[in-house]
Amino acid sequence: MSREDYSKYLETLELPLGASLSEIRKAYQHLKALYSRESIVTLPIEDEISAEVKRQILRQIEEAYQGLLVSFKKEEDTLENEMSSRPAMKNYEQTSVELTTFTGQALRKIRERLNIDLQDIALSTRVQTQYLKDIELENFEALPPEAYTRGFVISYAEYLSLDSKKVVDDYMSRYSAWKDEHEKKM
Amino acid sequence: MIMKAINERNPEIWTIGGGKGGTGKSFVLSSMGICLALQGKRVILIDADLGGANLHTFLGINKPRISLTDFFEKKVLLPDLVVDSGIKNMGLLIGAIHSLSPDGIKYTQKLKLFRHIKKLNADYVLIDLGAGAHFNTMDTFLLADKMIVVIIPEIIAIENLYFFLKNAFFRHVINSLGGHGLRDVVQNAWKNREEHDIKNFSQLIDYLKGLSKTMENIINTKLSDFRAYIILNRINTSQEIMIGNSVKSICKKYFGLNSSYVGYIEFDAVISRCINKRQSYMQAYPASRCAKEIERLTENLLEGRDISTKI
Repeated sequence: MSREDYSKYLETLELPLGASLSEIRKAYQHLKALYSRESIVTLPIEDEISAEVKRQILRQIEEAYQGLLVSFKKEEDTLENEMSSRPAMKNYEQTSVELTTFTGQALRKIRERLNIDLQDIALSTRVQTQYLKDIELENFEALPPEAYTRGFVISYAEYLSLDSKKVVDDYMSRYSAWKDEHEKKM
Repeated sequence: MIMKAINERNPEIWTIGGGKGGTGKSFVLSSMGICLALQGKRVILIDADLGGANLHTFLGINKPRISLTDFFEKKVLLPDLVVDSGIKNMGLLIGAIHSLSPDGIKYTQKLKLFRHIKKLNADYVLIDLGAGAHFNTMDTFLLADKMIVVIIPEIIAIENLYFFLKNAFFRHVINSLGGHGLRDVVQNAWKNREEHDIKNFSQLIDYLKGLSKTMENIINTKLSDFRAYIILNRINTSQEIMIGNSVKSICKKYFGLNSSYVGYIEFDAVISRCINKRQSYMQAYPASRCAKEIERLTENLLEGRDISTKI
């Protein structure tokens, strides 16, 4: 990809030079939704913008995203090799639907597979990064009281577009087991 | 010598507009002023809401007796109209013009006022504009080094913002066309829009660019030096944070207008309680989340950068 294309694509996705793959992915998803759905941001100018202009913008967004993905392809291939020893997670959506156990470790793997930083989740969910880490480590002791932890896990799951009810029920079953154990000891 | 040079430097001017009333412009402006003043910067707040100046309420002080009226009518010097805001490093100048209607300011008076504002002895001059998109409001808005708009996550506020920015941009173009003897070009194009098949903002821009090479250059220059700084106030959920990004995107992709999304402030019922008690929120609750968010967005404005996506 030429230098001009690279900057043009990033401009289309409204990102600075050197944006990471996860930033690119996030921007792409955000813009695609913005220009294909109605919202309070687009409704006021609905009558001003023709369908053709919208389609064109969506095409540009798509082209930019696909173009930028290519430049990360090489990196991804290496990642793929490294991960080949881990259980195959070829089709993320498929896998996450099939999954029934959502341990902290499993959540972390899904997150890493999506190339999402904990900071991204923290910013959007407003759950402190340290708590997110503790969730992934199942470091129950460090997590806040049950009701809060439950909320944090739901936010985390929603951010990854997982079925949050399934995730939180499974996750909190281990939390409760730990809590019972812990209280017995006291 | 060095000290003198610093004192003679012109202040950086920030203006706050945004079309709709009740989005929290005055609250945001007074809070940012306090942030800057607490950092040791010399700040002057100007309440240019000529219809209903009330910035003093946000600072918990009584309405000053002197105002811009004295500048226009009694020829009092602008620095002498700046009153103590009750906060160290920060002065307040109110614009209540009792005998003059807001429309009644003559063009030359306006230019004189702008000239004196630019010479005020301060590091930052923050100007609060009233609601609406009257051309006097627009000209004051455009006076800024940083043009700030405040929106809330409501469709009317966003609709008004688009209207406000489009108007501000055309005012910006028209003001500079005067020097080229082309003052009426924009109005005429709009007046005869059916004839030219102009249905919206971007078609008008394209039409104007197509008129001549000179017009094209002017429009392109004006587009590149026009930048609004967006603040999203009173959000209720973290999902709403992205509305700022969305509005910024729409401005660029649909209108070709540049903007920066500098930050958001979440809803806090305590804020209106503070205002009603005439208490400054930033001083009463300096450790609150909103106060931190205001500090962050003030910092972003100082640096002229967007809200960061990382913590």
